Amino acid sequence: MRLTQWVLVVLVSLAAAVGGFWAARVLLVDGGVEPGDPAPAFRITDLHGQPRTLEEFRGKLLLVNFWASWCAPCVAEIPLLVEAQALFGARGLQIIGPALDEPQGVKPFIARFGMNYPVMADFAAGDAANRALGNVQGYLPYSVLISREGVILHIKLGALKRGELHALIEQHLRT
Amino acid sequence: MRWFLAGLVALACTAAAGRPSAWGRNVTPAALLPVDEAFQLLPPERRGKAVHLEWNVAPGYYLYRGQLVVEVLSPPGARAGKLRLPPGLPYQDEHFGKVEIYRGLLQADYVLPGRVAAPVRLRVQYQGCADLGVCYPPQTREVEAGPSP
Repeated sequence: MRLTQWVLVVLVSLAAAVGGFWAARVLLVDGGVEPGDPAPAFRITDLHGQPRTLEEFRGKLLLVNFWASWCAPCVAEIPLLVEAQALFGARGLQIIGPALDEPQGVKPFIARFGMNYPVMADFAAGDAANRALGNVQGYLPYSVLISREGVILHIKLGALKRGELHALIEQHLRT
Repeated sequence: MRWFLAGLVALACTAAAGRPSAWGRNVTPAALLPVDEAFQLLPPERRGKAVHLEWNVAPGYYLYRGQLVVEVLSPPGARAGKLRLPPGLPYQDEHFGKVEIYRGLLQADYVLPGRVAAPVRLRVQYQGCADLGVCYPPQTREVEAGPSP
């Protein structure tokens, strides 16, 4: 193959790479939100009727865990989240759990698992926050770790595992 | 042969760039079917005194029997009907206990309370998950079965 042909191949490859990257951002990752982006503002009413915003958690390492009472993998990870809040809360971790649900569907879980972090069941606002944080399809469970400065650190679709969760928290509490 | 190899290089570049980096080793949205492909609700049909409903549930996905709800929107005279569901596959869930799920082709009938000649409009709700450990939000569709033949 001559040099000009190789140059052509490299150019086509580069164009394909750019196209693939664009397609992944626009078509696959839905909201196009990824680590390094500033977390979008949200406002969700908690079970006590109090509006909760991203801004009030500034200064904390914030784990936003979207869940629902009808989602078995979500319910399975609640004990891990309760444990993590107890273990790392004093060092600056704050977990919040916006549920894509109605309050009556959520309340039994709070008592059952001793949920020690704020839970919201404001469907419309929770759904809007979920979408704003990149989960346009509404798949659950969906977790987003946000830095003390309000920057997205990590996105997780599917249930978190204990080792993965602790390693992630330790890593970002240190920094 | 050289052009074939060059083509492979281009393809590899596309695939590498297309992998969503934000998700790392997580389940990615790209690994999941759109909800209407995961749980394909087929157009309803009138069969005798019933409206026949079918879902084509993709391999690796399942619907919860307990989350299936059918409500008649019109005509009002058809509201006293009853949803007839086949038994589901037993599924032991750690938190929800014993539940039933459907995989593959699900066929259900909404049995009308009597002779209903007019078209029947239904609101159908269902919810399911992927074996990958991700659940889809509850879905609601409005469908219409034509007049009785």
